[in-house]
Parts: sequence; C-alpha cells; structure tokens
Amino acid sequence: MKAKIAGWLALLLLAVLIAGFPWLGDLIGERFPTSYELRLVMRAMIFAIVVIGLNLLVGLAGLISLGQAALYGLGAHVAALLSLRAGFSFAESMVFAIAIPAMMGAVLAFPTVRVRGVYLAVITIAFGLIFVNVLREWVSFTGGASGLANLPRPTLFGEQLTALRRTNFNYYYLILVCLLVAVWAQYAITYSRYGRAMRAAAQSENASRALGINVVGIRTMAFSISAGFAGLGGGLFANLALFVNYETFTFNTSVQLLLMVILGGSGTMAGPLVGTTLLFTATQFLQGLGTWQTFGYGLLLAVVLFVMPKGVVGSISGLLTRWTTRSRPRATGTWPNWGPGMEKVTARPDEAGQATLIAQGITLRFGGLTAVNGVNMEVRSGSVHALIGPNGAGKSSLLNVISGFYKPTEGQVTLFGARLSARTAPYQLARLGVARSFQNTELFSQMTVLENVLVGAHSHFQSGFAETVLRLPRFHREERAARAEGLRLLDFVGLSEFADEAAGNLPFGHQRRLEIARALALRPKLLLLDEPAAGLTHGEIDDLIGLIRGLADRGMTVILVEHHVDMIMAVSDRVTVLDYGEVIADGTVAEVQANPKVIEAYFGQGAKPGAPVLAA
Amino acid sequence: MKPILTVTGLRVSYGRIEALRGVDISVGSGEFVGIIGSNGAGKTSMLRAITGVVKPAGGSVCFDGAETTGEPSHRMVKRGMAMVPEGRMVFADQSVRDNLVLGAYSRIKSDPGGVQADIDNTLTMFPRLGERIYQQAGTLSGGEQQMLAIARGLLSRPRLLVIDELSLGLAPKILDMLFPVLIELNRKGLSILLVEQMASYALAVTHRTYVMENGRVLMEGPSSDLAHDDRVLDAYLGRRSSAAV
Repeated sequence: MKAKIAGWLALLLLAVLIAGFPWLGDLIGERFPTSYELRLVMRAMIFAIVVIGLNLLVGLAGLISLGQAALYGLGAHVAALLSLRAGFSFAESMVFAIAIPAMMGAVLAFPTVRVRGVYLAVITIAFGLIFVNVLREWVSFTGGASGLANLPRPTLFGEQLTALRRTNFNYYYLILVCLLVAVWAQYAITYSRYGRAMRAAAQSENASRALGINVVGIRTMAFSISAGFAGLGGGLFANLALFVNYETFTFNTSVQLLLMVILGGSGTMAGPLVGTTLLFTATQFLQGLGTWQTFGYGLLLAVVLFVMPKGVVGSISGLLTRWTTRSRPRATGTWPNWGPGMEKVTARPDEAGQATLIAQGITLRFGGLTAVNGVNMEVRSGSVHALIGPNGAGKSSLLNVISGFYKPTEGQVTLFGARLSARTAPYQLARLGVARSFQNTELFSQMTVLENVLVGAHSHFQSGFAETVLRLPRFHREERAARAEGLRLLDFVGLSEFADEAAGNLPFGHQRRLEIARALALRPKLLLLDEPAAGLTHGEIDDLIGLIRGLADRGMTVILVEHHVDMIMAVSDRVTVLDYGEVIADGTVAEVQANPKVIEAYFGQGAKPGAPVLAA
Repeated sequence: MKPILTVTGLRVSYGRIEALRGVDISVGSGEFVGIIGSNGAGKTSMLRAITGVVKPAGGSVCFDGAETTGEPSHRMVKRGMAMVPEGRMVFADQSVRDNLVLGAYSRIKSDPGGVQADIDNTLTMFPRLGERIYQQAGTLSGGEQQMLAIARGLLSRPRLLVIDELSLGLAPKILDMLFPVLIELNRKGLSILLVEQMASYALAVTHRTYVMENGRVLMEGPSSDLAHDDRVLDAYLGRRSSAAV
C-alpha cells in the first residue's frame, strides 16, 4: 500500500516537473528551454508512450516484439497521409492513427497461435523489415526517401497546436496528457483480470486454458493494445515533426524500444518511464563522443543490465522488498475448512444421480502409438470416480481428452448431457464447468498465491474492457467479490497465510493444494484431479480425502487419477482400471480390489492398505 | 561407523522465507538414511544445500572428510555425491543412452571404457532401460524415468546417492521394483540419503531416519524403532486414516 502511494506521488512529481519545464526560463531569467530542448522532451514523452505499450506486450503477455517501430511508423504514416491527402482534421486523423495499427497488431498476433518466443520475435522482425521496404519503394504513396513533408500544422478546437509561448505550449501539454493517460491505462490493465490473464498465459498456457482463458484472444488483445499505443505515439510524432519518412522506423528503432522496456524493468509500472528517460538521455550525451558513440551505448547497456538483471526498477524494487519485509514463520491452516462462504463454490443440488460424463469408445492415437483404446466410462453426478492403472496406462491421456486438451481419434464424449464437438476448446469446457489440476502442477509461479486463484475466477467477471480501464463501479464490486472468494478458497485449503507469497516459492505439497483452490475458483461441476496426493504426507492425504469426499457430498463430481491405494479405497465410489490404454476392470472399490487382473497389473504384492510395503 | 556426510547447524533462506533453521544430520559410510516430514518441513531445501544447488545461509557441510559448504554442484559430483532430483528431471529430448552418458560427464573423456562398462551394469540392474536405450527419455513412463534418473546418478560413480522423493507419482508395483534395487546398491556399499514423503516405504527400507518439521530435525533414530513410535504413527503413517476407514 505504501509502495503504491509512493509510486503515485513519484508520478505526480514527474508530471509537475515536466509541466513546469517550459516555464523554467521565467524562473532562472534566461532563454531556456529553447524550442530544441522542448522538442527533445516531447520526443522522449512520445517514446515513453510507445514503450508503455510494448511493456504491456513484453512484461505482461511475455511476447517479444522486435517490430514495434513498424507499428509506430504505421501510426505516423496514417496520420500524415490522412491530413495531407484526405484533409482530415488532427483529431480525426489521430483516431485512425490509433485504430489502424491496433488492427494491424491483432493481425500480427495471429502467428502466436503457432509460434512463441524467439520464433515470434523473428516474425515481428520480418514484419518490420517488410514494412520499411514498402515505405521506401512505394514512392508514389509514401514519397520514398524524401518522405511526406509539409504536413499542415495540427489544430484542435480552432487552436493551432505548437510548443510555443504564444500558444501556451499547448501541443507539449497535449502530449503530456496522452502520456499520463497511457500510464493510467497501463496501471488499470495490469491490475485487472486482463493483466492477470496475460501474465497467466505467459507463465503457463495449459493452466490458463484449463481455467477458461482464451489464450489466443488474450494475446490478440495484448498485441492490439500495444500496437494502439505505438500508433498513438506515431500520430503524435508525425504532427510534431510535420515530416515523416521510413528512416525513423527501422529495425534499430525497434531494438531501441525493446531496450527501453528491458532497461527500465519489463512488467513494472515505472519501468517504461525510467528506461525511456535513461536511454534517451544517454543517447543525447553520447552524441558528443563521435565514433565512440555506439561503443559507449553498448557498454552502458551491458554494465547496467549486468548489475541490475531485472532492469533498473525491477532490481531496485526487488531489493527494497528484501530489506523491508521481515521473515515470519507461516503455518498452514487446517483444511479442508468448510463453513460459510463455500456454498457458492459447491452448491449444485439439481443434478444428483445423473451422468455427468459418458465416454463411449474413446480411442486416442499419437502416430503409431495407441494411448487410449476403446474406453467406455460413465461418471455419475456427485460421485468420486477413480482412474487407476500402471504408469503409462493412459490415465492422463484420458483426462486430457475429457478436459478437451486432446481430441479423441475415435469415440464420443458426452458432458452434462451434451455431446462434445471436436471443436470445443479447453477454455470453453472450463466455462461449462470442467476444472482440473495437473500432474506436475502448473501454477503461475511468478504470480502470488492469491493472484493464482483470481485467474481461476476470470470468466465470472461481467465487466468489460472499457469498464475495467475506466475503473467503473461494477469493476470495483466484482474485483472485491473475487478477492473475497479467492481468500475464502485459500482459507479452505489452509493457505491464507501465504496469500501474498509468490506461488513458485511454496513447497510442492502446498502447490498441490493451491492448484485445487484455483480449480475450485471456476466453481466447477466436474473436477479432474491428476495425482493430487503425490508429494503429500499421510496426514495431508487424510485431509485431502476429507476435501474430496466433502466436495462430492455437496454435489460436485470428481474424477481422480491417483496411485495412493489407501486414498483410492477411502474416497472412491467407483473405480476404473486402465492397462495399456484399455479398461481391464470397472466397479466398486471392493470389486476392483479383488479382481485378479488388477492385482497382477497394478497392485503388485505388497500394497495392501495399512501393511508395511516391504520386509526390510 | 565413519561418517561420509556430516551436516552441522545448516540454515537456508529464500528471500523472506526461512526454510531451514539449523539442522544437524549425518550419514555413515555404507549407511541407508531416510528423511521424512510434512510439506514445507525443509527436506528439499536441505538436499539442495548439501548438493550445492543453493548456498546455505549458515552452518557447515562436510563430505568425505572435506569441508564442502557452499561448493557448487558440479564439484560435489566430482567429489562423489550424486543427486536424483524430485520429479526425475530427465533430459526429455535426448535418448536414454545420452542421458546415461551425461551422468558420466565428469569422466567420459578420461575413461570411456569404464563408462561403457558402468552403463552395461546399470542396464542389467534396470533391463527396461536396455529395451528402450535409443528412445527419447521424455516418452518413457514415470517409473522408467525414475529408473533412468537413478541410473544416471550412478554413472558418476558416487559414494553417496541422494534421492529426493523416489515415490512421487509412481504406481505401487513400480515402487516394489525400485526399492529392492536401492537395498541391493546399499548392500554393495553405496551410502544413500533418501527423502521420502511416503513414510511407510522410507521406514521399511532405511537403517536410520530423521523426522523434520518446520526447518528443524524433530526426531532421529533407527527406522525400525520410529516405525513403532506413537508420534510418527500418528503424523506420518496415517494411523488416523486407518481408524477412519
């Protein structure tokens, strides 16, 4: 809270400094700043706007763009062409300067369906190169090397926009306002369900899909917003310089923009401002070095990033948290903690006794390998259905078919009475009420424990993007409710003391509990648990048994893949046994336990419940 | 028994979380020692500090007569300590054979013949790996991956094998196969330090066991004694659950 207030105060101070800068001459009695310095500050502010947009893409969505200068240039050229050739007013041309790059950004997001990481970066480089080439060669449209010159001076409400005393520096302040709006938007997006979803998609795509997040959609949104900011910056630049050509928007500029994000600290609020200021100032100073300019520039970057690997803001704030927070012992609470507040998650009285899931003849092949072969299975509503079998028997594959991650090669899955089409994506199934945990835990490890659960609540929000950015009442209401429910769920699994800890710092067993809480945040009708007891002690397994039984007794259907024999026996209503992808037994616990085929394939000699496993 | 590993007053912190608050343990030469305890007790943190994955915040680690506190992992491997990490961590996109060769990384140049002999040796121990020798490690089942992780650890010819969570995600039948192999290795003179969540298994195979809680050692003693200790029965062997079922 203190840090947040300090942050806003720092921003206010910065805004006052920038706002007062043009009038500095009155104070010191000199002719300073001249139009040259004013122009530098304005260009720095424009850069900051573009960098803020890129920060959302890189820092939140984890997508690296090395073609951002092209989107910046697109905005500049749209603004220039519309006012020069079509006679659009400043305001009209700016709308298109934002909208057209934003649309282009959405198109650029399309490759993320297939490629990520370095490959995506290469695609964005390609886009940047093509863009510059088109600008240079399409002389009749863009003027080629001579560019588009003599743009009409921008006017707004009949006033000419310039950065002169005569106009009270109105263009200067217009850019400042745009910058502040960009800072606000960055804040509002980051601390909302959209920002959380972007970070979640960057950290674990599978878990995000399983929690009802349309990963392609959220990435398209990130690209589009980021491109919109680039376009805004481009439009402002064109109307400042009154001249545009391709040389401003080359690959070098893209690299510079990305460096500003990383130097400041990607994903941080102040990072873009700090990074832009540092790099922009450094560039101005280094110009005096002549031939050594590029060398000095590179050396500076290497040194700063070596000393502060998370960027200036990221590294400093990391140190501050380290120094200011004291270690305190934290204990897990008793779990499962039923009681008031859990009804919302569990209540589902109307469907008891019906079939939640019917799998008919499910076959799944990977190339020549048959992972699941003609499996029939029926899971009754409100029951705990265990799926057991040796390692490699196809249990997880079947779970992945049920949760939509794999499409069955043959067969039909019927969920909640409706046949699943082959096109149903995992995030759509999640929204229908299917939640799952993962065998090797797929938490969003750099997000806090509470944020992990909040991602699970993503699809319950009604407030849209505009409401979120404008922070309208419904946003606040829903955010408060989601936090309350999230904390209640953490309390339910006994992790409330860890709410603000990074999920990746939790011991493995606590991570399992968090995955369950996060899955429950979806308020699912069907919960799929993939080896939830792996890594838990006997005492914790007892608690887990209580939790699963409790959920089922309250009407939730649970499908459980597990190896702990004691647990399966204690909790399951029905057991299906798989071996080599086929069902070798199906029945009540007692029936399966007595089945010689199951003993042979799975239990082995010593695994009778309670008995010591081996004679030492 | 001359100890091969002595840990004194070991402390580990991650930023603001203090995971280990002064732990003393020792492993005798040729001994099979177990560590049990609930989640967050500090078991994995201790293994990380001993094997040099994290630097301890205090205390000392003595391995094989030398002070090794804070030495990086690759040096600990050269000194004769091998780690089988939690969750197997096999090199999924490389073949079983390449995984094994990488286990002998520190001596593959100087002693290729010996490495080949050791590989053959581990394949006799785990014939399933022999059948899949050119298969990508990522396509193995969980049990086979655990076999591979153990075999890979053995390839550095360790005198102390450190295993984190052998049973994680494995079917009972696989465990019945893996534990006898460990017992056999120990019988041949290998010292083993086993961290295990399933206390019943750990107490059944080890000579001596430490019980950890909240970053400290709570109890210590011969495994056969602990297996009948009331506190251990209640907290880790699930007597409560058998009563409830």
